[in-house]
Amino acid sequence: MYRNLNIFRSYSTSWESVIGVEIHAQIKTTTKLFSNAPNSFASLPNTLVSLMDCSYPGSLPSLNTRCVSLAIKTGIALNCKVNKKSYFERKHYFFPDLPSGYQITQQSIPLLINGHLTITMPDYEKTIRIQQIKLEQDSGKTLSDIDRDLSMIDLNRAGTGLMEIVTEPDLSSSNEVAIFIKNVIGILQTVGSCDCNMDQGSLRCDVNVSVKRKGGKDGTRCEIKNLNSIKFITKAIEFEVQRQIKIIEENEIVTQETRFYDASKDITYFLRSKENFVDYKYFFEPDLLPLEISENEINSLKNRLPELPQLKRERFILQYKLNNFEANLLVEDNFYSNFFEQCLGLKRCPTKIANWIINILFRLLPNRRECTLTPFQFCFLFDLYENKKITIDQVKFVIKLIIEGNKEPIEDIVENFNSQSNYQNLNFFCEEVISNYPEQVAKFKSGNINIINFLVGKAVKK
Amino acid sequence: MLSRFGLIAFASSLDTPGIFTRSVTDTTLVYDSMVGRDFNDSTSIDANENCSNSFDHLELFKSKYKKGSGLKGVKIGIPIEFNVEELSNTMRELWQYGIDLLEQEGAEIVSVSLPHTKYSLATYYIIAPAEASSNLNRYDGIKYGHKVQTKKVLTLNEFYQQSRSEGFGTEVQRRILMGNFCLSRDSFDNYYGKAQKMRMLIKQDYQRIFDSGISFILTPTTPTPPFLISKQSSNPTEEYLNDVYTVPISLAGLPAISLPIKRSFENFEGQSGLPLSLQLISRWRQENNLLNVAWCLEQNANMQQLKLEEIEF
Repeated sequence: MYRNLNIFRSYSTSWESVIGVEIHAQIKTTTKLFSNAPNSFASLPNTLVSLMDCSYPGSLPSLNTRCVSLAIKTGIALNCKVNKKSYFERKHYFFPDLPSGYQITQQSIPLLINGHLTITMPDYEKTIRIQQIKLEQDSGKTLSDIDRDLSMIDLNRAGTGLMEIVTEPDLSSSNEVAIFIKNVIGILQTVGSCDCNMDQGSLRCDVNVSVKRKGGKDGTRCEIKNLNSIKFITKAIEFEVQRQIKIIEENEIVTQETRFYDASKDITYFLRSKENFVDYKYFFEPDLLPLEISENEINSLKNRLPELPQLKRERFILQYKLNNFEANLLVEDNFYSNFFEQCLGLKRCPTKIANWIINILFRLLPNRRECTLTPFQFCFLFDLYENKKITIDQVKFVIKLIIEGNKEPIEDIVENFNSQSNYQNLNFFCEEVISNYPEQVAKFKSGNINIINFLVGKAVKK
Repeated sequence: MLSRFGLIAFASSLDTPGIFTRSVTDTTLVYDSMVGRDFNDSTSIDANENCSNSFDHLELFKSKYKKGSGLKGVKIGIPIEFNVEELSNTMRELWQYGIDLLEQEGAEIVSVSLPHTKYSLATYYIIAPAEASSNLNRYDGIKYGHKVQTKKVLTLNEFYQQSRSEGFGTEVQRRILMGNFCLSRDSFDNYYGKAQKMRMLIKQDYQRIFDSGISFILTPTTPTPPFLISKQSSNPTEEYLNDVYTVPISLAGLPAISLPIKRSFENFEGQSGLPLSLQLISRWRQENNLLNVAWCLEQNANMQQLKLEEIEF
């Protein structure tokens, strides 16, 4: 057993994972990148399509400058250099969800380059380099699961603006990737350039994974697609790393390929080989002028950047005396950092509020992305508790009611609740409990004071 | 200057809406209604006072016009490199005739050199098919246009191949194949890349001429008189040679106008009376002056109005 453990240790410490990430983030604008069709998620198929989006003959692209501003703000937040003159290019391939037969993207000279983001792991800090951020069009959607014999094409998404954020292969573990992506999401949400809703597809990630022995030469990388949650990303990376290590240990060769992640089986499977090189025939888009940004514009956008997550986290730690863990959790989502600060209004204790949000609110919410509770309601309950007018269980009960959809004013809810647990009922419940658990009562009477908690718990449950 | 929005795109960096009329005055009317910045076309530009309201400018020119001095002080350039072997005698004589007409109006005729002219055709026939092949990618039979009709179940690639092969004519297919070749990774630098560089050199040739004081350039529009439909060449490369005088102007993006000067009275292929045209070219954003000079040339030319019944094909 000891020997096996030893092998396991050397097995895992002699290998290094080399991971790079490509994040496609849909830019949050009201219209698309090159057309004035609305940019929205839930609509009937093919209702948000302009002439340009379905590549009607005679249509021409017209740049949405708001997309450019948001992309530049994102790039500045990620410490990138802005290319004052960048170019759009055409990437050609045939597929039904690409109406023009080419995608307008940036290839040789993208908008932003050479950025970096420092992530804070439990024991160390690491700087991940960002190779580039480029502007490009999203394609439409192909749905093959509605009808067995037909592929359905929905062009609502065709032409939506995307920022493609590409990192250097600086990441070394699935944990680092998870933290990195969370940090990027925090920045995108703070800047306001993306919803970062992975379920709806407004943020998509592909990872490139390769392994190598410590001190050895670089391995062959495989691209993994179809990862629509951070949990799946980490699982896919872990599976892939083990898969590649196994192949090399058996003296086989890892082939360069694109793989899909299957969440139900927790495996990556082969999709297509990268050895058949596809020639995209890139050339500069003749229907668009080069994208020129002035120094003044860049500075103006820089000045309009809101407080970024890194700084906010440091400030929360310094100003509110929160610890790393608490600060991280609150800063991860803009909504909750605002919620937290709003709750502090009337000199409420920050650490207590933070504790409540993390240990009570987060645990009661089925989906952290949807919170119908307002800071006002939250503070109302908090103040009652601090004034000893309400118990913690009652707080949880009320919060649950509101989350489940109760729209009454909070004063009324608490009023009803209080009137329910009036003195008479309380007495009745207590008597009931005492008669139901004679054993525990006896223990209490013989000196076991703590057993009262058990009895109280039973009473509260009633 | 003229928006491309609504045109079926061929070669985006070369496409321009063309105006066909029976007189220069009519041209000014049509031009005025089309000129200016269109927000649907990102590459369109604003017209300044030298290239808008051309009708009014022409009226003004007409009112001040005195025969024999309409072009006093104007320098017209005659590019020596355009005097090629393929230029037929008829057209060379026409060119001289045009030069004389302008001289009679007081213009100063200057010989100029455009050294990169001989590369224009090759440059054009790389850039145009390359961009066309890209613009034609959208005709895939999926959303509009011709779609292959068959009961057989096709793979996606087979569907594309058959729809496009059936839907495109021979010349278009030829250009798509040429374009694909020029844009392919291995050939890009030697073909499309070089062609774009050559295009810049051609443009600079014209820039230099105009900077040296030349206001307009006069050339024949085609190297030969118009050919009959029945006598069209079956060799496409020969056909491309007919564009030798218009292609460099297109590459440089210059305003130009072609107008019939006189009929051929020579017996050409058994027919006589075919219209022969000269081309006037100006520098960028000088359309008003270009149209004035064109009108002047039109006044002096010996060209009757074409009556379609007279011509037998």
